[in-house]
Amino acid sequence: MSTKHDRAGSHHCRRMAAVFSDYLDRDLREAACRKVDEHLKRCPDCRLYLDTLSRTITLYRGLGGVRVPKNVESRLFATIRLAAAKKKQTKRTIR
Amino acid sequence: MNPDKEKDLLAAARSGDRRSFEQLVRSHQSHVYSLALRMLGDPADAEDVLQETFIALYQNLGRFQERSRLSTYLYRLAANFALMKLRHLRTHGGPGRDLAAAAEIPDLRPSPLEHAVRRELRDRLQQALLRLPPDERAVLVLRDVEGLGGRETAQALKLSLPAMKSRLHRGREALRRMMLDRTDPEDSP
Repeated sequence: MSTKHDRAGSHHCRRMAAVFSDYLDRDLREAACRKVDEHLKRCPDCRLYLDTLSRTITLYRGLGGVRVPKNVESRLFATIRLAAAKKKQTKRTIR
Repeated sequence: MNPDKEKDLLAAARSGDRRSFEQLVRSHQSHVYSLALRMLGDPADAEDVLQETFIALYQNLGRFQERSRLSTYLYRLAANFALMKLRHLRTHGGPGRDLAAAAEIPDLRPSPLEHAVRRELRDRLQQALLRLPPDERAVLVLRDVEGLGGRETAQALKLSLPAMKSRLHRGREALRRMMLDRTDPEDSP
């Protein structure tokens, strides 16, 4: 999005944009949140920016988790058993 | 898993009960693997991190004091191993060798067109994630993909809350730009 703000407006927008992440996470104090709301009412560029930021976050949140494939799980458990056996052996040697 | 059950299993595992340890592994392995795969983009590298993480837990069971949740501790271990691997890959070979495999998320929609669109989008997202600096990627994966809270993410990565938020903001902004596929420096306010 290209900004059509004058220099002062642009600077103000950048300051606002720095808190958009917190704004979307509902992690802003009420007063700061009101300031953002007020700014958004007046600034179509920031509304567009916030909208694309929010859509991006929603998209990659949807990536979600990945299941461990069965063969990977089998190798993991084999490794753990090996480590357990080594630990036992070391204990016996120390005794 | 409920916290009491987890506590019991940890106590049993500490006293040498391997089966209890394996139950803990089963309950946390997907989160660890998922984080590693999103961070590294390669299933073989993710498997290394998965093994290193649980072996480290096994060897340090006595030292884990339960001041943080087990999941947070495991995320911390896994993120550290993944970041170490990325550093190693940077000097010995490029990261993200198998991007398509890294994006293999189960598809819930049956339409072939939907399937293709979603697949392409997931691939683009995963590729974009892999282009982020590793420190920002770790924050994004834990906070947004794995869904950890802000404090938990900061704790897992041993960052202050403001530092975590700053990386999160930078990472999200970079991803937004990449997804828009534009490089115009005037692209943000």
